[in-house]
Amino acid sequence: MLEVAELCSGYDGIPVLAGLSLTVRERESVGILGHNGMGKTTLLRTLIGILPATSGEVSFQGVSITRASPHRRARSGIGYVPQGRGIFPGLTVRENLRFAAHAVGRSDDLAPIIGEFPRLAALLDRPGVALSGGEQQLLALARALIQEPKIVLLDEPTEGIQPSIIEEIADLLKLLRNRRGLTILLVEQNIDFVKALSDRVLLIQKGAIVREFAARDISDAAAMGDFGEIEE
Amino acid sequence: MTAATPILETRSLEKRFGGVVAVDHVDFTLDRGELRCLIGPNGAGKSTFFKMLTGQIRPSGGQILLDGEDIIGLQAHAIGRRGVGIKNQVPVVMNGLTVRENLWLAARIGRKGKAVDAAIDAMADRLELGPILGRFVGELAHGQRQWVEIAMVAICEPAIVLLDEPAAGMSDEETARTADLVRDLNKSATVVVVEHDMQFIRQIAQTVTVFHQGRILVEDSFHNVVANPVVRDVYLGRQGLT
Amino acid sequence: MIVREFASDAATPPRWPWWCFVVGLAFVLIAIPAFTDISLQLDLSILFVLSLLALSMSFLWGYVGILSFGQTIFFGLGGYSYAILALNAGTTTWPFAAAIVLPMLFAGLFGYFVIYGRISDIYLSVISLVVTLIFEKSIRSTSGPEYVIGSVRLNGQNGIPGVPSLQLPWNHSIQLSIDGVFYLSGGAVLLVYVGLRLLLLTSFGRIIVGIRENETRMELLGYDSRVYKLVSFVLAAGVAALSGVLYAVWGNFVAPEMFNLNQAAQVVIWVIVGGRSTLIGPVIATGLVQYFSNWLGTVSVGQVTLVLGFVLLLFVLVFPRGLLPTIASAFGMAFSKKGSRFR
Repeated sequence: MLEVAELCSGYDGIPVLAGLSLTVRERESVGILGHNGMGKTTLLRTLIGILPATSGEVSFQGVSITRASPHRRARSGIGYVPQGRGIFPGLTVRENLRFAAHAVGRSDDLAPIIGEFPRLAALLDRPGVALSGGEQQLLALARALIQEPKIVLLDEPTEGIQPSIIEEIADLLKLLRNRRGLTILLVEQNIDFVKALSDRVLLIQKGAIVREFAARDISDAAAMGDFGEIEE
Repeated sequence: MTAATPILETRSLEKRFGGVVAVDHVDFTLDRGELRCLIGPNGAGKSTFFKMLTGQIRPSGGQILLDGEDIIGLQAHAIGRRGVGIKNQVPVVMNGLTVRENLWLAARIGRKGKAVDAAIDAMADRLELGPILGRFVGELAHGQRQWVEIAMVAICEPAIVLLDEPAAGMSDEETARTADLVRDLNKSATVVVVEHDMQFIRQIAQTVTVFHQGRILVEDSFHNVVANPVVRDVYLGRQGLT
Repeated sequence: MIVREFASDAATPPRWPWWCFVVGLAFVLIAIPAFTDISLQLDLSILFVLSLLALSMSFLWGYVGILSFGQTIFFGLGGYSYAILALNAGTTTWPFAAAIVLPMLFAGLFGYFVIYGRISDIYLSVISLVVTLIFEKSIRSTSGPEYVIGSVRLNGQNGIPGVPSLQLPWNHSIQLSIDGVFYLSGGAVLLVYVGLRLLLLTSFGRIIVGIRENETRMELLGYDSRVYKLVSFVLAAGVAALSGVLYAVWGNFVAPEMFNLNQAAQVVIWVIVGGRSTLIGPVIATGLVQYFSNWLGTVSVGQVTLVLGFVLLLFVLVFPRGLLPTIASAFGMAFSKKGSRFR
C-alpha cells in the first residue's frame, strides 16, 4: 500500500533521512524503533508531506505522492497523529472532530467515532486546552480516524501518557485494525506497545532502515533494557 | 536550620484556574538527599505543582518552604538562584541558539573564565552531546532537546533538581542512561522526578508519591504503590507493571 | 521552521572582512566632503541622523525582542532638551550631553513601569506609541506665552527656531559648519553601529539575546530578565536621544512633528525594510526609503505616505526578513554562521 524508495530529507541543509526504503502492505501494522535523532519523526513528516523530500520516491496505492501537498495526501487516505498531539487547543473536542471531518469532505456525524472513543463522549464541549495529556492523545487519534484513512501514521502516541490510557489506546488500535482493516505505521519508543500492536518491526538508524524482524522476535530481555541487543 | 529541616516542604499548597482546582491543599515534604518519584494520571496536577515550586506559577494559597524559608511571591530567578532547577515537560530552551550557547548561559552562573568552558565540555562528555554542540537547538529531535535542557539544569549544580518526564520519547537504552544520570545527580542534589514510564521509575525509586485530582493519594515504597488497588484503578491499568 | 535570523552568532567576534568594511566606511566618510557640494552633505547628514533612530529601534527589536513604536519619544525629548538648554545657557557643550541623559532618565522611569510591571509585548508596543502621541499633543498645545522654560518659549506647533549650532567644546566662538555636522553625524552612526555590534560580544549582549530567545528559561537559570531589558531599553533610548539632538543641531529647529505618528511609522518602515535581524540593514534602508520618498516628491506623486504604506505592505508580505537578509540569501550566503559578516 505504501512504498518508500531511497527517501532523503532534512532541515535547512542538514540531512536526516539518507536513502530510506520501506514497504507497508495493506492491513499490516509496522512499528519503527530507533534512538533520538535517527529520523523517526522526520520520516513521518516527510510521508505526510509537511517536510519536502530532497530525493527519493513515495507512492501510495500505486500512485506517486512524492510531490503532493499534505492536504492532498490526507484526502487520499493517509491519516497522521503527530508527536505532541497537535490538537486545536482553542476549539472544543466536538469542533476539533468536525473540523477534521470537513477538511477531507466526510460526514461530520460524530456518533460513530464517539462509539469507538467513549471517553470523549463526556468531553465533547471541553476546549482542547482543558484536556489532560491522555485525553488529548485520544482526541488526536479520533481526529485522524474520523477522516476514515486507509493508513494511519502514528508518532510516539504513548509519550507522556499514563499507563492505563496507553492500554486503552492499544486496545482501541487493535479493535480498529480488526473492524476497519486499518493499516498502521507506528513510530514508538515503548517496546511493549510496539510488540503488542505490530506485525513487523523496523529499526531506523542514521536515517535509514538497518534491520527488520517480526514483532514476536523482540525478546523480553530487549523489552526491559538494552537496544544494543536488537542492534547486534 | 537544623539538619532535620526538610529541604522542601509545602503546606496546604493550592492552585485554582478559574473554577478548576489543579492542586488541592497539598502537604508535601522532601528530605535532603532524597530521590522522590511523582506519578499520577495526566492532569493530576504534577506539572502545576512543579511550576509553583520554581515560581513559574503563582499559588492560590498555602506555603512553600525552601530550607525553612517561605518562597511564595519570590520571582522565578530568585528561586533559581536559591538552587532550584527544573527540566520542564515541554523543553524550555533557547531554540534559536546553538547547544553550546545554551550551555554557556547556564554554565557561566557562579563560574569565571576557563572554568565555564571546562564545565561545558565536561557536561557534553557526560551526556554525549559532543556531536551536536554546534547545532541549533530548535532543529534537534525532541529527545535531544530534552537532553540539552537536562544538561543546562545539571550544569548549574542546583540543590534541588526537578525533572518533569525526563524519559519521555527515549528508547529503552536511552532511558537506562537517564536513570544512571538521575542517580548520579542524586549524589549531590535532592531530586524529584515525574514520570509515566514504570520501567524507569522502578530503576530509580525510593519513595513514590502518587498524585490524583490535585491531591496526594498515596506515598509509599515503589512495591507498595504498584500493588495498591486504587492506584491500579486510576492510573496503572490492569497490567500494572509489565 | 526555526527563525535563525536573530543571529546567535552575534556572539562570534566579527572577522577581518567586517573590520575592513568598517574602516573602509570611515575613509569614505572622511573623503566625501572633499568631493561633494554642501547640499549633498546636508542630505547625507540627515540620513545619518535618522539612521541612528532606526538603529535604536532595530537594536531593541531585533536583539532584545522589545517592539517599541515609541522611540520617537526619546528622539523628540532629545531634540527639545537640547534646544531649551542650549538657548537658555548660551553654550552648547553640556546641553548636548544633558539632552542625551535626560531622555534616558525618562526611559528608565517609563521602562521601569512597563518592564517591571511585566506588561506584555503587544501592550508595550501600543503604550509606547500612545506616549509619543501624548507628547506630541501636549507640546502642540503650548503655543501661549505662558509656556516657557527659562527664557525659551515652547511655542506649541510652531516649534522652536534658532536652535544654536554646536560650538566646538574647546573654542566656544567657533560653531560647527556643514561639513562639521556631516562628520559628527556620520561618525556618530559609525561609532554607535560598531559599539552595538561589539556590545553583543559581551556577556551582557549574549544574555539579552538569551532573554529574547526564551525569557522563562533565563529566569529559571537565575537571570533577572527585567534588569537586562530595562538597561537595554535605556540604552536604546540614549541612541534615539542622540539622534534627536543631532537633528536639532542639523536643522537648528525642533518641532512637535518629531514626536508624531508619521515619524514613528517611518522608523518602523526603515527597520522592516532593512531587516530587524541586522544592525546595518535598517541604516541602509533609511537611506533608500528617504531617497525614494524625496524622489516621489520631485515627480509629484501626491500621496507619498500612501506609497510608503504600499512599500511596507510589500516588504512584510514578500520580503519579511527585510532587504539585507533577503539579498544575502539570494547571493547564496546562508544567513548563518558562515555568511554573517555584515550586521
